[in-house]
Amino acid sequence: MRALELVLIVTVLILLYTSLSLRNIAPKLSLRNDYFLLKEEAYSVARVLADSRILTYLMQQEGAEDELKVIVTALTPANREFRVRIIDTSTGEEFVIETPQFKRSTLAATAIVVYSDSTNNRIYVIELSLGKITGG
Amino acid sequence: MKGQVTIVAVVVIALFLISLVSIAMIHFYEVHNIGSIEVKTIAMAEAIESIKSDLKRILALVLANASRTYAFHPYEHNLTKFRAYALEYFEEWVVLTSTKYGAVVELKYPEHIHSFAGRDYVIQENYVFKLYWYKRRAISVGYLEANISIPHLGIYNVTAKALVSLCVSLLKVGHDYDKNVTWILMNVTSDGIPVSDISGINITVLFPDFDRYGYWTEAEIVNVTYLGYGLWNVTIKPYVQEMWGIIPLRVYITDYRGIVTSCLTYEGIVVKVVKNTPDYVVYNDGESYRTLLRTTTPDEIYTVELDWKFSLHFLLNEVSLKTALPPPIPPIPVKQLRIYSSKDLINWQLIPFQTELWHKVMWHGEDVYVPTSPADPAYWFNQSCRLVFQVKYPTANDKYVYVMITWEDDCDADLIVWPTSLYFDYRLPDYKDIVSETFRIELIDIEHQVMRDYGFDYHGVAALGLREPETDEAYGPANIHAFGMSDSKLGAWRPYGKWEVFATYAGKYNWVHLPVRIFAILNSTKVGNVYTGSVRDDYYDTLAIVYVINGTRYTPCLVHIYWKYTKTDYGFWMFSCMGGGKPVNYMYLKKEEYVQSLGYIYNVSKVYSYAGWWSHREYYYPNFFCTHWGNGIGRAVFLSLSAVDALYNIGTSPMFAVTKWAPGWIPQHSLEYEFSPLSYRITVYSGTYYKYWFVIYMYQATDEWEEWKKAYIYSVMFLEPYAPSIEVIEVE
Repeated sequence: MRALELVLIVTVLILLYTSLSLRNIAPKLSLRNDYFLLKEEAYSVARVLADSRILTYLMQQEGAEDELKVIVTALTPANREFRVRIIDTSTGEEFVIETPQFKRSTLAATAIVVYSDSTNNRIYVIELSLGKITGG
Repeated sequence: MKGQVTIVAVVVIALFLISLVSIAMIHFYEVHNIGSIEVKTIAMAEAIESIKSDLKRILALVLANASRTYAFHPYEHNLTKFRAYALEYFEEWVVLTSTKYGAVVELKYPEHIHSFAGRDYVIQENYVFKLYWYKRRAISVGYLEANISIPHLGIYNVTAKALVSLCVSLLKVGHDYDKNVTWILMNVTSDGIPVSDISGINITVLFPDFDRYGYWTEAEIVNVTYLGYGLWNVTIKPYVQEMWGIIPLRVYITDYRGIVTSCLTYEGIVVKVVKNTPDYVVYNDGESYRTLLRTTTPDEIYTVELDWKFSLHFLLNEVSLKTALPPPIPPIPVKQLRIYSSKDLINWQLIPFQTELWHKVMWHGEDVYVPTSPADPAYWFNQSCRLVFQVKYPTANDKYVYVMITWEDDCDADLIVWPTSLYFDYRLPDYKDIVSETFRIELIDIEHQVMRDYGFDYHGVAALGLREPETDEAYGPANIHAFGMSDSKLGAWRPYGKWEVFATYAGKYNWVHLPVRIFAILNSTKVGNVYTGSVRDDYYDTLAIVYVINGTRYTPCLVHIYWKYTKTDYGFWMFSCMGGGKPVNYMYLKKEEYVQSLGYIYNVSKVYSYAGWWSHREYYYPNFFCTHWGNGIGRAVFLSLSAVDALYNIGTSPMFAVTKWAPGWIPQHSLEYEFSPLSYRITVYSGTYYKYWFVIYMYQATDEWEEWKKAYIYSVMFLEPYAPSIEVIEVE
């Protein structure tokens, strides 16, 4: 009987440890998933910016930042903060727009897409970061 | 009690197991069902897809750059240069991709065949892109492959292929006079897919300006209708009339990426160059008129110039087109132009040609066309260009030659480097020679004053030193004009200056020898004293152009003379040509002669020998032909009728003359045309202008008395009334 009791106690301890461990790991895995989901969303938005060739027209205009902000806001899911940095590789010129709360994001993912503009003979790098504010 | 403890223990274990299973299920759900691997895979796919998308865009960028510049820049037409730029772009792009995506990208440029409208268009390996333009079908196409690895995402050796194209085919062109419109039915595809949204495509249509032939005007686009399957009907204003069954249009299509392609509604123009010389020539031997049949004339080769108005130029003749004008030769790079010749319109042979730039200049109140240089083959064909080619009539039966002016659709087509005997031997101080298989002409001028082996300093006077091309033996100079005395020496004041020689193409093609002819220009306002070396500018101005031609036995010299001041003096030559003492006999065609028994007879052959002790002889009534021959060589001089007229109108009793010795008892045996006898004092008035040409013809001859006839049969070739003429046959 003693041996049986001993086995029971060991089993209980192992189960206790395992359950406690899983309680710690699961949120981490969930966070990692959130990151990749954000990254995928960021890629989608960045690719829409590139594949729609909207930069060809946008970057030639005055106040391109404002229009870009409107477009990116429309493209991103709700409750997402974003930051877009567009670099003209030939001139080194940078355009940066971001939502006011972006810096408060607790989780952010960045997608980088290269956009070659054949009409204006430019190569742009689109760095689009999406952020999520979680918790309190 | 023990049993109760066991039961409690089992229940606790069971609860823990249930708890464990539920946690494990949550974990499994999070990790494996919507878990990070799946999400990560999507991110990986996005990265790869965005690289693929941009690969296509960077290819579109280089194709757009190249096609745009090729279409609209007047001379940047070197696609190899654009490929070098493309490689720079690709390199920049690869670096950018590597740093931004963390990817390793290796680009490859394999051969690719793109099919469009039933034809395969090849992009050769490493060419990246090709432009096939200026026909009814035109395409701009690019292709490349990329090998992509993104190690941090676990992606290795993914191959991405990028094809970018814009293809246009003009299917039908029509017009409506009442509505004042012209319409084009065309098929447009982009990247192999019919273009159904033409809003992003820019269409430019140009039609010939009928008031200013050779110029093009942009048409107004009135309506654009999509008919499905990539078919578009474009209506333009105005009504463009047909020319030789063709509505001539140039169409430029630019797509939303900036890629350009250009079509033409015609692909070639066929003209007929008609020989106008008679089948025989006539002379009078002093007893009766004799006829020489021109049955075989292997040297009857005309080196003609075709200008943008389709006027044919031969020497100073300009023969206008006999028929209605065809569509203009389009403004495409000269390097893509090709000329074919045919006797029967069936068998066509590609022939050498060169393009020269000619300008009309006002020279002392006269409109004079002068060649300014060979054209740069990278430039568009334009109103200054003349196509220079040869038409051959080796037998009496050859009455005409068909010539087709067309162009390559491959924009990589380059100038054909034809084999030629021509070269410019420019090694000062001794050599300034233009050489062909028949001639070695040593250009004597201010930078080369003494003819080799002749020993007579010309002090900067411009003349043509004739030499044997194989042995370099000197025959002596040919002087193009001379006037006045200097210390009892005649013919003192001669054109002074420098021969500008054009032996190669212009621009970046300056390594290519001109295949048809080398030309030298003397444009002088001064005369030099060939005896003392003094130079003056108060006599006459000279504009002379000499051609040394590949594959012919003649060399022409076109001369314009304008007298700025009135001068009176002895010794006035139009031309004199030394023979180096070699010829044995000479002959001249006497314009007219009175014979007691016959009355006036014309074109009398007067044949003489150089034998005997004498120095200079003069003969009355020269005409358009003289020659000397013997010791294996024959040399004839053909004058234009304008030259004969100048002799008679400016001169007083003009003379054909020969001189046996040059000063210093140098054997000369010359042929000369004098405006007046040496004993006459002649006045030439200021404002006197005359132009003419003489042609030096070389032939093989024995010492026989009748050998002059070998040359005489060609004399009519160079007379104005017999210049070749031109007709349009068809437009393809």
